[in-house]
Amino acid sequence: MTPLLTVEGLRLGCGGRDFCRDLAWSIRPGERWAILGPNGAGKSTLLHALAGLRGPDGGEIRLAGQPLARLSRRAVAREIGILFQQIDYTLPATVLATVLGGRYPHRAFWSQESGEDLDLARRALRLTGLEGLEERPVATLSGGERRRMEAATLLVQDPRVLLLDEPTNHLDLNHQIALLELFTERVRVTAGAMVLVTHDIHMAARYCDRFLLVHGNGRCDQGGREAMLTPERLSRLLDHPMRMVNADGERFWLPA
Amino acid sequence: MARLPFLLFGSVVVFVAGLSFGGVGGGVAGIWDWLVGNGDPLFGRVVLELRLPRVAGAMAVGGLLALSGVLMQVLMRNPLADPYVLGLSGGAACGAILALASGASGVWVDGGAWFGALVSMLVVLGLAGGPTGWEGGSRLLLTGVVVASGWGAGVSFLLYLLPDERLRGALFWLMGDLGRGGDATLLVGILIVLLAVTWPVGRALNLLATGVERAASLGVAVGPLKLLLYLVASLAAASAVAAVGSIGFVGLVTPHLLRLAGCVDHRCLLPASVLLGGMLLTLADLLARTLIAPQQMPAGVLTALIGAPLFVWLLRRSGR
Repeated sequence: MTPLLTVEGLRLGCGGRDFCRDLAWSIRPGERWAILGPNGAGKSTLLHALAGLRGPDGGEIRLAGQPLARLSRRAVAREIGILFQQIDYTLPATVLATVLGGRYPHRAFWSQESGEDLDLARRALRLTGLEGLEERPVATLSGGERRRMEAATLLVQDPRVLLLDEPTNHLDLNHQIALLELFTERVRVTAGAMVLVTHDIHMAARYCDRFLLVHGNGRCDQGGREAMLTPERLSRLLDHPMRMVNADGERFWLPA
Repeated sequence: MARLPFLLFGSVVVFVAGLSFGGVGGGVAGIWDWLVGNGDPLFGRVVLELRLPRVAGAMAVGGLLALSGVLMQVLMRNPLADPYVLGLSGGAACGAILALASGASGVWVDGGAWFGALVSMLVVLGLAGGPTGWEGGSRLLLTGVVVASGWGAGVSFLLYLLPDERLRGALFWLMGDLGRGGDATLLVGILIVLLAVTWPVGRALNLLATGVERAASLGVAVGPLKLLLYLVASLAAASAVAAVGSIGFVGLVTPHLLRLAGCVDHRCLLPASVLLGGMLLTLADLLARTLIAPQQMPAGVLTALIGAPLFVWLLRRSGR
Protein backbone atom coordinates (compact mmCIF):
# COMPACT_ATOMS: atom_id res chain seq x y z
CA MET A 1 0.00 0.00 0.00
CA THR A 2 1.31 3.47 -0.83
CA PRO A 3 2.06 5.51 2.28
CA LEU A 4 -0.03 8.56 3.18
CA LEU A 5 2.99 10.38 4.54
CA THR A 6 6.58 9.63 3.61
CA VAL A 7 9.51 11.04 5.55
CA GLU A 8 12.93 10.83 3.90
CA GLY A 9 16.31 11.79 5.32
CA LEU A 10 14.57 14.13 7.76
CA ARG A 11 16.67 16.32 10.00
CA LEU A 12 14.94 18.46 12.61
CA GLY A 13 16.68 20.54 15.21
CA CYS A 14 16.36 23.47 17.51
CA GLY A 15 18.93 25.59 19.28
CA GLY A 16 21.91 23.73 17.80
CA ARG A 17 20.58 20.31 18.83
CA ASP A 18 19.24 17.71 16.44
CA PHE A 19 16.06 15.93 17.46
CA CYS A 20 16.32 13.50 14.60
CA ARG A 21 18.84 12.87 11.86
CA ASP A 22 18.31 11.08 8.57
CA LEU A 23 14.91 9.79 9.67
CA ALA A 24 13.13 7.54 7.20
CA TRP A 25 9.51 6.88 8.13
CA SER A 26 6.37 5.86 6.28
CA ILE A 27 2.85 6.29 7.62
CA ARG A 28 0.50 3.95 5.78
CA PRO A 29 -3.31 3.82 5.64
CA GLY A 30 -4.78 2.23 8.73
CA GLU A 31 -1.67 2.66 10.85
CA ARG A 32 -1.88 4.15 14.32
CA TRP A 33 1.46 5.50 15.52
CA ALA A 34 2.54 6.64 18.94
CA ILE A 35 5.53 8.93 19.44
CA LEU A 36 7.14 8.40 22.82
CA GLY A 37 10.08 10.23 24.34
CA PRO A 38 11.30 12.47 27.14
CA ASN A 39 10.46 16.19 27.52
CA GLY A 40 12.13 18.39 24.95
CA ALA A 41 13.00 15.48 22.68
CA GLY A 42 11.25 17.13 19.73
CA LYS A 43 8.01 15.15 19.64
CA SER A 44 5.85 18.22 19.07
CA THR A 45 8.35 19.67 16.60
CA LEU A 46 8.17 16.46 14.60
CA LEU A 47 4.36 16.63 14.64
CA HIS A 48 4.42 20.25 13.44
CA ALA A 49 6.78 19.28 10.63
CA LEU A 50 4.42 16.46 9.59
CA ALA A 51 1.60 19.01 9.44
CA GLY A 52 3.74 21.27 7.25
CA LEU A 53 3.73 24.05 9.84
CA ARG A 54 7.50 23.95 10.13
CA GLY A 55 9.98 23.31 7.33
CA PRO A 56 12.48 20.48 7.81
CA ASP A 57 16.13 21.37 8.41
CA GLY A 58 17.04 18.63 5.97
CA GLY A 59 15.30 15.95 3.95
CA GLU A 60 11.74 15.93 2.78
CA ILE A 61 8.18 15.10 3.86
CA ARG A 62 5.76 13.99 1.15
CA LEU A 63 1.98 13.71 1.21
CA ALA A 64 0.80 11.03 -1.23
CA GLY A 65 4.01 11.50 -3.22
CA GLN A 66 3.91 15.33 -3.31
CA PRO A 67 6.42 17.37 -1.27
CA LEU A 68 4.50 19.04 1.55
CA ALA A 69 6.18 22.38 0.97
CA ARG A 70 4.85 22.56 -2.60
CA LEU A 71 1.20 21.99 -1.68
CA SER A 72 -1.15 24.84 -0.76
CA ARG A 73 -2.12 25.15 2.92
CA ARG A 74 -5.70 24.45 1.91
CA ALA A 75 -4.81 21.20 0.12
CA VAL A 76 -2.71 20.07 3.09
CA ALA A 77 -5.49 20.93 5.55
CA ARG A 78 -7.94 18.68 3.70
CA GLU A 79 -5.61 15.69 4.25
CA ILE A 80 -3.74 16.44 7.48
CA GLY A 81 -5.21 17.75 10.71
CA ILE A 82 -3.48 18.48 13.98
CA LEU A 83 -4.69 18.78 17.56
CA PHE A 84 -2.39 21.27 19.28
CA GLN A 85 -1.16 20.89 22.81
CA GLN A 86 -2.46 24.30 23.76
CA ILE A 87 -4.36 27.15 22.14
CA ASP A 88 -4.71 30.61 23.62
CA TYR A 89 -7.96 32.36 22.86
CA THR A 90 -7.30 36.04 23.38
CA LEU A 91 -10.12 37.33 21.18
CA PRO A 92 -13.68 36.22 21.91
CA ALA A 93 -15.46 33.53 19.86
CA THR A 94 -18.33 31.12 20.39
CA VAL A 95 -17.91 27.35 20.54
CA LEU A 96 -19.98 26.66 17.43
CA ALA A 97 -18.17 29.32 15.36
CA THR A 98 -14.79 27.95 16.47
CA VAL A 99 -15.71 24.38 15.53
CA LEU A 100 -17.11 25.57 12.17
CA GLY A 101 -13.59 26.83 11.41
CA GLY A 102 -12.78 23.20 10.63
CA ARG A 103 -14.80 23.51 7.40
CA TYR A 104 -12.53 26.27 6.09
CA PRO A 105 -10.34 24.08 3.83
CA HIS A 106 -13.42 22.48 2.26
CA ARG A 107 -15.07 25.70 1.07
CA ALA A 108 -13.95 28.55 -1.17
CA PHE A 109 -12.51 31.16 1.16
CA TRP A 110 -15.15 33.80 0.44
CA SER A 111 -18.14 31.47 0.73
CA GLN A 112 -20.44 31.10 3.72
CA GLU A 113 -20.91 27.96 5.78
CA SER A 114 -23.73 25.80 4.44
CA GLY A 115 -26.44 23.98 6.38
CA GLU A 116 -24.45 20.82 5.83
CA ASP A 117 -21.42 22.39 7.54
CA LEU A 118 -23.62 23.37 10.45
CA ASP A 119 -24.95 19.81 10.73
CA LEU A 120 -21.39 18.45 10.74
CA ALA A 121 -20.38 20.89 13.48
CA ARG A 122 -23.39 20.06 15.66
CA ARG A 123 -22.77 16.36 15.18
CA ALA A 124 -19.10 16.75 16.20
CA LEU A 125 -20.15 18.68 19.30
CA ARG A 126 -22.56 15.90 20.18
CA LEU A 127 -19.87 13.24 19.69
CA THR A 128 -17.47 15.10 21.97
CA GLY A 129 -20.14 15.66 24.62
CA LEU A 130 -20.39 19.42 24.13
CA GLU A 131 -24.03 19.49 23.12
CA GLY A 132 -25.78 22.57 24.43
CA LEU A 133 -22.59 24.65 24.64
CA GLU A 134 -22.86 25.91 21.03
CA GLU A 135 -23.29 29.59 21.86
CA ARG A 136 -20.98 29.68 24.88
CA PRO A 137 -17.92 31.97 24.63
CA VAL A 138 -14.76 29.86 24.42
CA ALA A 139 -13.26 31.80 27.33
CA THR A 140 -15.87 30.33 29.69
CA LEU A 141 -14.98 26.68 28.90
CA SER A 142 -12.88 24.56 31.23
CA GLY A 143 -9.54 23.15 30.05
CA GLY A 144 -11.09 19.76 29.31
CA GLU A 145 -14.03 21.28 27.46
CA ARG A 146 -11.67 23.33 25.30
CA ARG A 147 -9.72 20.21 24.49
CA ARG A 148 -12.91 18.46 23.38
CA MET A 149 -13.87 21.52 21.35
CA GLU A 150 -10.53 21.28 19.53
CA ALA A 151 -11.21 17.58 18.95
CA ALA A 152 -14.62 18.49 17.53
CA THR A 153 -12.93 20.97 15.16
CA LEU A 154 -10.63 18.18 13.99
CA LEU A 155 -13.62 15.87 13.38
CA VAL A 156 -15.29 18.62 11.35
CA GLN A 157 -12.09 19.18 9.38
CA ASP A 158 -12.17 15.44 8.62
CA PRO A 159 -8.59 14.86 7.42
CA ARG A 160 -7.21 11.39 6.71
CA VAL A 161 -4.09 11.93 8.79
CA LEU A 162 -4.77 12.82 12.44
CA LEU A 163 -1.82 14.32 14.32
CA LEU A 164 -2.62 14.42 18.03
CA ASP A 165 -0.34 16.29 20.42
CA GLU A 166 -1.09 14.93 23.90
CA PRO A 167 -4.84 14.88 23.17
CA THR A 168 -5.82 13.51 26.56
CA ASN A 169 -4.26 16.34 28.60
CA HIS A 170 -6.80 17.94 30.93
CA LEU A 171 -9.32 15.17 30.23
CA ASP A 172 -10.91 12.89 32.78
CA LEU A 173 -10.62 9.17 32.11
CA ASN A 174 -13.99 8.56 30.44
CA HIS A 175 -13.40 11.44 28.03
CA GLN A 176 -9.85 10.23 27.32
CA ILE A 177 -11.17 6.85 26.26
CA ALA A 178 -14.13 8.31 24.36
CA LEU A 179 -11.90 10.69 22.42
CA LEU A 180 -9.35 8.06 21.39
CA GLU A 181 -12.13 5.63 20.46
CA LEU A 182 -13.58 8.38 18.28
CA PHE A 183 -10.26 9.01 16.54
CA THR A 184 -9.42 5.33 15.99
CA GLU A 185 -12.88 4.89 14.51
CA ARG A 186 -12.19 7.77 12.08
CA VAL A 187 -8.90 6.11 11.08
CA ARG A 188 -10.75 2.86 10.34
CA VAL A 189 -13.58 4.50 8.38
CA THR A 190 -11.42 6.82 6.27
CA ALA A 191 -8.54 4.33 5.85
CA GLY A 192 -6.47 7.12 7.31
CA ALA A 193 -3.74 7.20 9.91
CA MET A 194 -3.15 8.59 13.36
CA VAL A 195 0.01 9.84 15.06
CA LEU A 196 -0.31 10.24 18.81
CA VAL A 197 2.21 12.09 20.94
CA THR A 198 1.83 11.05 24.56
CA HIS A 199 3.59 10.35 27.83
CA ASP A 200 1.05 7.67 28.72
CA ILE A 201 2.56 4.33 27.66
CA HIS A 202 -0.63 2.44 28.48
CA MET A 203 -2.78 4.73 26.36
CA ALA A 204 -0.28 4.37 23.51
CA ALA A 205 -0.22 0.58 23.86
CA ARG A 206 -4.00 0.42 23.93
CA TYR A 207 -4.69 2.56 20.85
CA CYS A 208 -1.56 2.33 18.70
CA ASP A 209 0.09 -0.50 16.80
CA ARG A 210 3.27 1.25 15.66
CA PHE A 211 5.75 3.15 17.81
CA LEU A 212 8.41 5.78 17.21
CA LEU A 213 10.78 6.33 20.11
CA VAL A 214 12.39 9.78 19.95
CA HIS A 215 15.45 9.98 22.20
CA GLY A 216 16.16 13.66 21.66
CA ASN A 217 19.78 13.14 20.64
CA GLY A 218 19.09 12.45 16.99
CA ARG A 219 18.31 8.81 17.50
CA CYS A 220 14.86 7.47 16.62
CA ASP A 221 13.70 3.82 16.81
CA GLN A 222 10.56 2.52 15.22
CA GLY A 223 8.67 -0.74 15.14
CA GLY A 224 5.74 -2.77 16.46
CA ARG A 225 4.61 -3.27 20.03
CA GLU A 226 6.70 -6.37 20.75
CA ALA A 227 9.91 -4.82 19.52
CA MET A 228 9.51 -1.32 20.95
CA LEU A 229 7.69 -1.57 24.27
CA THR A 230 10.36 -3.63 26.01
CA PRO A 231 11.59 -2.67 29.49
CA GLU A 232 15.13 -2.25 28.12
CA ARG A 233 14.14 0.19 25.38
CA LEU A 234 11.76 2.17 27.60
CA SER A 235 14.34 2.38 30.41
CA ARG A 236 16.87 3.85 28.01
CA LEU A 237 14.28 6.18 26.40
CA LEU A 238 12.92 7.58 29.64
CA ASP A 239 16.24 7.48 31.53
CA HIS A 240 14.68 5.58 34.38
CA PRO A 241 14.57 1.81 34.99
CA MET A 242 11.24 0.41 33.83
CA ARG A 243 9.71 -3.01 34.36
CA MET A 244 6.92 -4.78 32.55
CA VAL A 245 4.22 -6.68 34.43
CA ASN A 246 1.89 -9.26 32.92
CA ALA A 247 -1.50 -9.55 34.58
CA ASP A 248 -4.63 -11.21 33.18
CA GLY A 249 -3.03 -11.24 29.74
CA GLU A 250 -2.45 -7.48 29.76
CA ARG A 251 0.86 -5.69 30.02
CA PHE A 252 1.70 -2.87 32.37
CA TRP A 253 4.81 -0.74 32.44
CA LEU A 254 5.88 0.57 35.79
CA PRO A 255 8.85 2.62 36.98
CA ALA A 256 11.15 0.29 38.92
CA MET B 1 -25.28 40.05 11.19
CA ALA B 2 -28.66 40.96 12.68
CA ARG B 3 -27.15 44.13 14.11
CA LEU B 4 -26.02 45.61 10.82
CA PRO B 5 -29.43 47.14 9.88
CA PHE B 6 -29.59 48.87 13.27
CA LEU B 7 -26.11 50.27 12.81
CA LEU B 8 -26.96 51.39 9.30
CA PHE B 9 -30.06 53.17 10.60
CA GLY B 10 -28.05 54.71 13.43
CA SER B 11 -25.45 55.96 10.95
CA VAL B 12 -28.15 57.69 8.89
CA VAL B 13 -29.57 59.33 12.03
CA VAL B 14 -26.13 60.54 13.10
CA PHE B 15 -25.40 61.72 9.56
CA VAL B 16 -28.56 63.83 9.46
CA ALA B 17 -27.87 65.14 12.96
CA GLY B 18 -24.37 66.13 11.87
CA LEU B 19 -25.83 68.09 8.96
CA SER B 20 -28.56 69.71 11.05
CA PHE B 21 -26.75 71.22 14.00
CA GLY B 22 -23.92 73.68 14.27
CA GLY B 23 -23.07 77.34 14.68
CA VAL B 24 -25.82 78.41 12.28
CA GLY B 25 -29.11 77.07 13.63
CA GLY B 26 -31.67 75.17 11.66
CA GLY B 27 -31.93 71.73 13.13
CA VAL B 28 -33.68 68.86 11.43
CA ALA B 29 -36.61 71.12 10.49
CA GLY B 30 -34.20 73.47 8.75
CA ILE B 31 -32.80 70.57 6.71
CA TRP B 32 -36.33 69.54 5.74
CA ASP B 33 -37.28 73.07 4.71
CA TRP B 34 -34.15 73.36 2.67
CA LEU B 35 -34.75 69.98 1.01
CA VAL B 36 -38.32 70.87 -0.05
CA GLY B 37 -37.04 74.16 -1.36
CA ASN B 38 -38.37 76.91 0.92
CA GLY B 39 -35.52 77.22 3.38
CA ASP B 40 -32.92 79.91 3.94
CA PRO B 41 -30.44 79.73 1.00
CA LEU B 42 -27.57 80.69 3.31
CA PHE B 43 -28.37 77.73 5.56
CA GLY B 44 -28.44 75.53 2.46
CA ARG B 45 -24.97 76.68 1.50
CA VAL B 46 -23.68 76.06 5.03
CA VAL B 47 -25.04 72.52 4.91
CA LEU B 48 -23.83 71.71 1.43
CA GLU B 49 -20.45 73.37 1.42
CA LEU B 50 -19.36 73.23 5.05
CA ARG B 51 -21.19 70.50 6.93
CA LEU B 52 -21.63 67.83 4.26
CA PRO B 53 -17.88 67.44 3.53
CA ARG B 54 -17.13 67.60 7.23
CA VAL B 55 -19.71 65.00 8.25
CA ALA B 56 -18.87 62.70 5.34
CA GLY B 57 -15.20 63.09 6.20
CA ALA B 58 -15.85 62.27 9.87
CA MET B 59 -17.85 59.18 8.89
CA ALA B 60 -15.07 58.00 6.58
CA VAL B 61 -12.22 58.74 9.00
CA GLY B 62 -14.02 57.04 11.90
CA GLY B 63 -14.66 54.04 9.66
CA LEU B 64 -11.03 53.91 8.51
CA LEU B 65 -9.73 54.09 12.09
CA ALA B 66 -12.11 51.37 13.29
CA LEU B 67 -11.29 49.12 10.32
CA SER B 68 -7.60 49.57 11.03
CA GLY B 69 -8.21 48.80 14.71
CA VAL B 70 -10.01 45.52 14.01
CA LEU B 71 -7.28 44.36 11.63
CA MET B 72 -4.44 45.30 13.98
CA GLN B 73 -6.13 43.47 16.84
CA VAL B 74 -6.38 40.29 14.78
CA LEU B 75 -2.89 40.70 13.38
CA MET B 76 -1.36 41.02 16.81
CA ARG B 77 -3.89 38.83 18.58
CA ASN B 78 -3.98 41.56 21.14
CA PRO B 79 -7.28 43.18 22.04
CA LEU B 80 -5.44 46.36 23.04
CA ALA B 81 -3.77 46.98 19.68
CA ASP B 82 -4.76 49.96 17.60
CA PRO B 83 -3.31 52.00 14.74
CA TYR B 84 -1.54 54.37 17.09
CA VAL B 85 0.48 51.87 19.08
CA LEU B 86 2.40 50.91 15.94
CA GLY B 87 3.72 54.44 15.68
CA LEU B 88 1.77 55.31 12.55
CA SER B 89 0.43 58.56 13.92
CA GLY B 90 3.87 59.54 15.20
CA GLY B 91 5.33 59.03 11.75
CA ALA B 92 2.47 60.98 10.24
CA ALA B 93 2.98 63.83 12.71
CA CYS B 94 6.70 64.00 11.95
CA GLY B 95 5.99 64.03 8.21
CA ALA B 96 3.36 66.73 8.53
CA ILE B 97 5.44 68.99 10.79
CA LEU B 98 8.46 68.59 8.55
CA ALA B 99 6.26 69.72 5.66
CA LEU B 100 4.92 72.63 7.71
CA ALA B 101 8.44 73.57 8.78
CA SER B 102 9.60 73.73 5.20
CA GLY B 103 6.79 76.17 4.47
CA ALA B 104 4.48 73.76 2.68
CA SER B 105 0.74 73.93 3.14
CA GLY B 106 -2.50 72.23 2.17
CA VAL B 107 -2.16 69.04 0.23
CA TRP B 108 1.60 68.88 0.78
CA VAL B 109 1.14 68.65 4.53
CA ASP B 110 -1.36 65.82 4.06
CA GLY B 111 1.07 64.15 1.67
CA GLY B 112 3.88 64.54 4.19
CA ALA B 113 1.72 62.96 6.90
CA TRP B 114 0.71 60.07 4.67
CA PHE B 115 4.31 59.48 3.65
CA GLY B 116 5.46 59.64 7.28
CA ALA B 117 2.85 57.09 8.32
CA LEU B 118 3.91 54.67 5.60
CA VAL B 119 7.60 55.12 6.43
CA SER B 120 6.73 54.34 10.04
CA MET B 121 4.92 51.18 8.94
CA LEU B 122 7.91 50.02 6.88
CA VAL B 123 10.29 50.69 9.76
CA VAL B 124 8.15 48.71 12.21
CA LEU B 125 7.63 45.92 9.70
CA GLY B 126 11.35 45.72 8.93
CA LEU B 127 12.47 45.82 12.55
CA ALA B 128 9.91 43.21 13.61
CA GLY B 129 11.39 40.72 11.17
CA GLY B 130 9.52 41.07 7.87
CA PRO B 131 6.11 39.75 6.92
CA THR B 132 7.00 36.08 7.30
CA GLY B 133 9.11 36.31 10.42
CA TRP B 134 6.55 37.56 12.92
CA GLU B 135 6.70 35.13 15.77
CA GLY B 136 3.76 36.54 17.58
CA GLY B 137 2.07 39.80 18.25
CA SER B 138 4.23 40.88 21.15
CA ARG B 139 7.38 41.52 19.11
CA LEU B 140 5.47 43.64 16.64
CA LEU B 141 3.70 45.48 19.42
CA LEU B 142 6.93 46.20 21.28
CA THR B 143 8.61 47.41 18.11
CA GLY B 144 5.62 49.67 17.48
CA VAL B 145 5.80 51.11 20.98
CA VAL B 146 9.53 51.78 20.68
CA VAL B 147 9.19 53.39 17.24
CA ALA B 148 6.23 55.45 18.48
CA SER B 149 8.27 56.87 21.34
CA GLY B 150 11.05 57.65 18.86
CA TRP B 151 8.60 59.62 16.71
CA GLY B 152 7.34 61.35 19.84
CA ALA B 153 10.84 62.63 20.55
CA GLY B 154 11.16 63.68 16.90
CA VAL B 155 7.91 65.64 17.11
CA SER B 156 9.02 67.43 20.30
CA PHE B 157 12.36 68.29 18.72
CA LEU B 158 10.72 69.69 15.58
CA LEU B 159 8.24 71.72 17.63
CA TYR B 160 11.14 73.17 19.61
CA LEU B 161 12.90 74.27 16.42
CA LEU B 162 9.76 75.55 14.71
CA PRO B 163 9.41 79.36 14.44
CA ASP B 164 6.55 80.78 16.50
CA GLU B 165 4.31 81.72 13.59
CA ARG B 166 4.19 78.11 12.43
CA LEU B 167 3.96 76.54 15.86
CA ARG B 168 0.22 77.11 16.23
CA GLY B 169 -0.57 75.34 12.95
CA ALA B 170 1.61 72.40 13.96
CA LEU B 171 -0.05 72.11 17.37
CA PHE B 172 -3.49 72.13 15.79
CA TRP B 173 -2.38 69.43 13.41
CA LEU B 174 -1.27 67.29 16.34
CA MET B 175 -4.60 67.64 18.11
CA GLY B 176 -6.59 66.21 15.25
CA ASP B 177 -9.15 68.50 13.71
CA LEU B 178 -11.93 67.51 11.37
CA GLY B 179 -12.37 71.13 10.34
CA ARG B 180 -9.25 70.71 8.26
CA GLY B 181 -11.39 68.56 6.04
CA GLY B 182 -9.31 66.50 3.74
CA ASP B 183 -10.97 65.27 0.61
CA ALA B 184 -14.14 63.55 1.87
CA THR B 185 -14.89 61.87 -1.48
CA LEU B 186 -11.40 60.41 -1.62
CA LEU B 187 -11.63 59.19 1.99
CA VAL B 188 -15.00 57.51 1.40
CA GLY B 189 -13.58 55.89 -1.74
CA ILE B 190 -10.53 54.57 0.12
CA LEU B 191 -12.76 53.23 2.90
CA ILE B 192 -15.02 51.37 0.48
CA VAL B 193 -12.08 49.82 -1.39
CA LEU B 194 -10.32 48.70 1.80
CA LEU B 195 -13.52 47.23 3.25
CA ALA B 196 -14.21 45.42 -0.02
CA VAL B 197 -10.72 43.90 0.08
CA THR B 198 -10.98 42.64 3.66
CA TRP B 199 -14.62 41.57 3.94
CA PRO B 200 -14.18 38.44 1.78
CA VAL B 201 -11.38 37.16 4.02
CA GLY B 202 -13.55 37.50 7.14
CA ARG B 203 -13.64 33.75 7.69
CA ALA B 204 -9.85 33.55 7.51
CA LEU B 205 -9.70 36.40 10.03
CA ASN B 206 -11.87 34.37 12.41
CA LEU B 207 -9.30 31.58 12.21
CA LEU B 208 -6.30 33.88 12.45
CA ALA B 209 -7.79 35.32 15.64
CA THR B 210 -7.41 31.87 17.23
CA GLY B 211 -3.69 31.73 16.44
CA VAL B 212 -1.29 31.62 13.53
CA GLU B 213 -0.54 27.90 13.76
CA ARG B 214 -4.15 26.88 14.21
CA ALA B 215 -5.15 29.02 11.22
CA ALA B 216 -2.36 27.52 9.10
CA SER B 217 -3.32 23.98 10.10
CA LEU B 218 -6.89 24.68 8.96
CA GLY B 219 -5.77 25.86 5.52
CA VAL B 220 -5.18 29.62 5.83
CA ALA B 221 -2.19 30.94 3.86
CA VAL B 222 -1.04 32.94 6.86
CA GLY B 223 1.96 34.80 5.36
CA PRO B 224 0.09 36.50 2.48
CA LEU B 225 -2.95 37.16 4.67
CA LYS B 226 -0.87 38.91 7.32
CA LEU B 227 0.84 41.03 4.69
CA LEU B 228 -2.56 42.02 3.26
CA LEU B 229 -3.89 42.91 6.71
CA TYR B 230 -0.83 44.94 7.56
CA LEU B 231 -1.03 46.87 4.30
CA VAL B 232 -4.77 47.54 4.57
CA ALA B 233 -4.55 48.53 8.24
CA SER B 234 -1.62 50.84 7.52
CA LEU B 235 -3.24 52.44 4.48
CA ALA B 236 -6.46 53.00 6.40
CA ALA B 237 -4.71 54.54 9.40
CA ALA B 238 -2.33 56.61 7.27
CA SER B 239 -5.20 58.02 5.20
CA ALA B 240 -7.18 58.89 8.33
CA VAL B 241 -4.23 60.47 10.10
CA ALA B 242 -3.15 62.40 7.02
CA ALA B 243 -6.64 63.81 6.57
CA VAL B 244 -7.45 64.94 10.10
CA GLY B 245 -4.42 64.40 12.37
CA SER B 246 -4.31 62.25 15.47
CA ILE B 247 -7.72 61.04 16.59
CA GLY B 248 -7.23 58.51 19.34
CA PHE B 249 -9.37 55.72 20.76
CA VAL B 250 -11.87 55.34 17.92
CA GLY B 251 -9.82 52.48 16.42
CA LEU B 252 -9.30 50.89 19.81
CA VAL B 253 -12.70 51.22 21.44
CA THR B 254 -15.06 50.63 18.49
CA PRO B 255 -14.24 46.93 17.89
CA HIS B 256 -14.38 46.35 21.65
CA LEU B 257 -17.83 47.82 22.03
CA LEU B 258 -19.06 45.55 19.24
CA ARG B 259 -17.37 42.47 20.67
CA LEU B 260 -18.92 43.19 24.04
CA ALA B 261 -22.28 43.39 22.27
CA GLY B 262 -21.68 39.89 20.89
CA CYS B 263 -20.48 40.73 17.38
CA VAL B 264 -17.38 38.52 17.17
CA ASP B 265 -17.54 37.02 13.68
CA HIS B 266 -15.32 39.20 11.48
CA ARG B 267 -17.76 39.02 8.58
CA CYS B 268 -20.04 41.04 10.85
CA LEU B 269 -17.39 42.85 12.87
CA LEU B 270 -15.67 44.50 9.88
CA PRO B 271 -18.69 46.34 8.40
CA ALA B 272 -20.16 46.95 11.86
CA SER B 273 -16.92 48.56 13.06
CA VAL B 274 -16.80 50.80 10.00
CA LEU B 275 -20.36 51.99 10.68
CA LEU B 276 -19.96 52.41 14.43
CA GLY B 277 -16.54 54.08 14.10
CA GLY B 278 -18.03 56.57 11.65
CA MET B 279 -20.95 57.21 13.98
CA LEU B 280 -18.78 57.75 17.03
CA LEU B 281 -16.44 60.18 15.33
CA THR B 282 -19.31 62.12 13.72
CA LEU B 283 -20.97 62.41 17.13
CA ALA B 284 -17.71 63.51 18.74
CA ASP B 285 -17.24 66.10 16.02
CA LEU B 286 -20.83 67.30 16.40
CA LEU B 287 -20.26 67.80 20.14
CA ALA B 288 -16.91 69.47 19.46
CA ARG B 289 -18.64 71.93 17.12
CA THR B 290 -21.61 72.73 19.32
CA LEU B 291 -20.58 72.41 22.99
CA ILE B 292 -18.64 75.67 23.16
CA ALA B 293 -20.08 77.31 20.03
CA PRO B 294 -19.20 79.58 18.37
CA GLN B 295 -15.78 78.29 19.41
CA GLN B 296 -14.86 74.85 18.07
CA MET B 297 -12.58 72.39 19.74
CA PRO B 298 -10.63 69.66 17.90
CA ALA B 299 -12.56 66.39 17.79
CA GLY B 300 -9.38 64.52 18.73
CA VAL B 301 -9.44 66.16 22.15
CA LEU B 302 -13.01 65.01 22.69
CA THR B 303 -12.45 61.41 21.55
CA ALA B 304 -9.49 61.17 23.93
CA LEU B 305 -11.52 62.71 26.77
CA ILE B 306 -14.34 60.19 26.23
CA GLY B 307 -12.11 57.34 25.10
CA ALA B 308 -9.56 57.24 27.93
CA PRO B 309 -12.04 56.57 30.77
CA LEU B 310 -14.05 54.22 28.54
CA PHE B 311 -10.89 52.28 27.83
CA VAL B 312 -9.97 52.01 31.51
CA TRP B 313 -13.49 50.76 32.19
CA LEU B 314 -13.20 48.14 29.44
CA LEU B 315 -9.83 47.04 30.75
CA ARG B 316 -11.12 46.58 34.28
CA ARG B 317 -14.16 44.76 32.98
CA SER B 318 -12.10 42.35 30.88
CA GLY B 319 -9.82 41.65 33.83
CA ARG B 320 -12.69 40.15 35.76
